[in-house]
Amino acid sequence: MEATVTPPPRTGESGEAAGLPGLLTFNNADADRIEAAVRRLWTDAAAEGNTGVLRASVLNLAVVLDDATQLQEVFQTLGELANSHPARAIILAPEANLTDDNIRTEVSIQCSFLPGYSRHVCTERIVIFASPAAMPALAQTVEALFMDELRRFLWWRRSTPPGGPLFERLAAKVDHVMIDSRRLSPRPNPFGLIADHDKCSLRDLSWSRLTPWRDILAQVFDPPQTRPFLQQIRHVEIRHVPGPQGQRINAAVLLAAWLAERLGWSLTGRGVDSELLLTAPEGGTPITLAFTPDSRPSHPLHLTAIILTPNEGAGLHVSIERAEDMQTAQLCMGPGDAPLACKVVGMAPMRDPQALARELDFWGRDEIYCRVIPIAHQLAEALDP
Amino acid sequence: MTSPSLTDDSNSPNPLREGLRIRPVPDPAIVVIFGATGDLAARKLLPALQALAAGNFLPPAFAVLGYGRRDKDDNAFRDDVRKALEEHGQNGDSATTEGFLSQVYYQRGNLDNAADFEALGKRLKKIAAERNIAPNVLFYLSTPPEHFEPVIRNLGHTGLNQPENGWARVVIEKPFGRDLDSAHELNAVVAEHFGEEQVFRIDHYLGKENVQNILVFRYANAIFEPIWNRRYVDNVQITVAESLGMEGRGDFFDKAGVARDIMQNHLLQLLCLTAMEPPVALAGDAVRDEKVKVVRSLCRIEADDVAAQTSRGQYTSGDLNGKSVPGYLQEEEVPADSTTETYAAARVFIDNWRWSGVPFYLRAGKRMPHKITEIAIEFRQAPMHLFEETRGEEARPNALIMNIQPDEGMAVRFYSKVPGTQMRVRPVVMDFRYGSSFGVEPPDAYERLLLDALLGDSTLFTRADEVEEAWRFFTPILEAWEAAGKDGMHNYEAGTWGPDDAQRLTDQDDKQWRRL
Ligand SMILES: NC(=O)c1ccc[n+]([C@@H]2O[C@H](COP(=O)([O-])OP(=O)(O)OC[C@H]3O[C@@H](n4cnc5c(N)ncnc54)[C@H](OP(=O)(O)O)[C@@H]3O)[C@@H](O)[C@H]2O)c1
Repeated sequence: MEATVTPPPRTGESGEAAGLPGLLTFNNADADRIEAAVRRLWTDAAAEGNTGVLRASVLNLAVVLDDATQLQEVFQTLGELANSHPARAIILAPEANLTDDNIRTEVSIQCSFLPGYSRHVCTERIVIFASPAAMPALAQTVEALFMDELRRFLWWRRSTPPGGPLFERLAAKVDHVMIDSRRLSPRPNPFGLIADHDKCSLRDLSWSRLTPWRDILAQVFDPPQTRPFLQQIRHVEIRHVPGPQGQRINAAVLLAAWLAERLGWSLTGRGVDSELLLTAPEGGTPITLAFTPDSRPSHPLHLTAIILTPNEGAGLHVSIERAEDMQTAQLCMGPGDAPLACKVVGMAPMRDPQALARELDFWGRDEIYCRVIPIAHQLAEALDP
Repeated sequence: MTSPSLTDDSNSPNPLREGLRIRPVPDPAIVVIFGATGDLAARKLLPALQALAAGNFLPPAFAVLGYGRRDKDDNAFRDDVRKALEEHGQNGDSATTEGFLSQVYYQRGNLDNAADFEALGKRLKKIAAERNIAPNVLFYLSTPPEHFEPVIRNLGHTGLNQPENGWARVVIEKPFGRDLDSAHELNAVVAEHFGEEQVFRIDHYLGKENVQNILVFRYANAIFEPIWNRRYVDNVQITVAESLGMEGRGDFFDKAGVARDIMQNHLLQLLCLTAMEPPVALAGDAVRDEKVKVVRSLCRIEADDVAAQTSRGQYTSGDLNGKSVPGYLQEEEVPADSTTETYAAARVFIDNWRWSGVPFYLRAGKRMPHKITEIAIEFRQAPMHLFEETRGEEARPNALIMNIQPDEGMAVRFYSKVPGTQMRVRPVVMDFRYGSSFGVEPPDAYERLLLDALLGDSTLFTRADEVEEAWRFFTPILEAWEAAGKDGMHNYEAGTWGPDDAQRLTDQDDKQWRRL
């Protein structure tokens, strides 16, 4: 077999690389050979007398990248994810400079020491490099490499919206598809393309990252006494740090769309300063929605605050504002005409491994996301007609 | 706050909560800790509450009120809590910690003084008004057990047990009684002032991840149920071993002993979860109903049988982890003539369809070679021995081991061929360590249980009848031991697995204790 063994790449902060298995590379994507290579790596690890190596997998994860430069970031994520979701990962890394018949595969096992244990948890990594044109044909290999019986996930980690032959073929072979709408350019409106797909089967890491915001807002209105104040909201401001080209972030639109869907608001048009105008279901009460850019250059594409302002003289004023270090937020609430009561809540940005883990643990259909996406589409269209 | 016009909406579910895919947060509430200056509050309760706050598991309107007899104000108590969190807490940066501390208050009072409880009621109202908290209160009894009754009575007499427009719940620490009569009496006092749905008797073992995993293991995997009975199971061994000695708590321990401190509660819970029938649902009373049936089905060990079916011992000095350690009678605060057991073992049977005739060997001890809690199911031998190695004294049956601590996980022992031209067979252990297959740290048991109590979920708490049944089983044993005094007390060297006498229990059935 035309395989070479080199020392393993080191993992990042999830734990020191175990140094047990090597890296096997060869110039094809033959599923049988790849399986043999994985077995060999495990056998080598055992032969080194490392009885602490544990082969446990809970899922199959196919990952599609924009290009190979994203590989290290993905390895880092997989390393951290292994703590809760040891997996077999099959990563497709397009390389523009490869010819169509030139395919390269790298097989390795990424292990992390667990604090307090002499053992490691490991993720099997199979990286297939090929030209973009050769990629769709690899869907078959990916399927052949999935471990029997374990759930199959596709993580579409690309900046292009889900679609095209590679996506369609892979999506047909997995149980769940995960995208990250944060990675998608806001123009053209990505929510339309998501809505076109069977959106209820899609998982969106960006949606997961909204969970702490949704949770804190839900907590404010959990007590029956505050629930009626939901009807009194008249103005919503969402602050966010725009992307490198100054673009508004999709997460802000998604959060606004969630509120609109939950509270039954419908879009009526556009107001001044790119505010959007909506109406509440009862009595057509007008509501304004503003997206305000915030300047925290070191945290692009993050939400920084949401402020709900009530009807003058009635209702509850609520604001959640992230601290400068982005780890916590100040939640303040109270009647508009009195000093607000504030408290600090945890609001560290959810990193990829956490967002992925959350989505990997959920096997059902996310009906709310399903309903929110068409509204996000409408809002984004109104903002950028 | 100005009232909105659409008040009828307060009865509808919170639309923002739907589909969040996380546990709901509890109602706004105040947690009152009686015994707030004690060891448990500092090491477990306050860090657990802070961790819950840091994880946003608590509602925005929330407060903790420490109740103690020492004279101090809110700020002095906050300083104590800050210190406790530095020493024992894990989660949260300084901003969230300070945020948590701003919700902490202190109230001075005695536990048996009704006037102090009136003052407590006023203070609760004041804090609730200040922080806009609905009148929901979780009372946590973290005091010495002799104060449980007066506190319950005082809560009842001052009406704190039934707040208007809100709820009151009470968490009661262990030990719940010291025998059947005292447990029954305490239950009666509790029932006088609180409905059973308001009462949360805590056994922190049930908050441990791998104890809950016993249920998942048994009921999410269909392969085990067909062999989980007397036809296939030869015996079950449950061990709760600690390497620690008294660590300055000799006085407390000497009044209890290992049977009261560990066996009657933690170990019995493990037995129940292992032996119970499938519950109709995984909630509240369904699980507890099944657990109670197991305790009721335990064959009673009557006074004249106690010596034959149990074994007890005290550790003498010995070596542990390379250090010499003193014997039990030389420990601080332990009377030199103490007859309190530091090791106890029992051979028990469950008289029901599933387990009839299967011995359950239970043991718990202090100053064992290492800390371990496990449940081992040993299966019957294969009916025919084709291989020499599976015959004879050395042969060990198949076993399934559920490790509870320190390394949470499962292991299966089976035979396999040794690679080579000869037919040589060796036992191998297939070991699945929960902790090292999943690197995520499980939450501390107290975090889980406090959150459950705040949410009103009593599944992982013990019910009145369960506690009494447990005492009904253990009381005759304890009484027989007390009557026998030094007779039947066997010494074992610290750092060993208990007295040789315990071997008697397994010898009766031609079995052996597992070597750990
Ligand atoms: N510690 C553990 O790991 C653990 C484990 C399981 C169960 N438990 C149970 O939890 C409870 C508390 O244990 P602990 O270890 O925290 O005990 P501890 O350290 O002795 O603390 C007892 C607390 O009760 C207070 N107290 C005692 N008598 C009082 C009185 N007459 N009036 C007002 N306050 C009084 C003490 O106040 P002062 O500080 O003023 O003395 C202290 O705050 C016990 O029932 C124990 O069995 C403890």
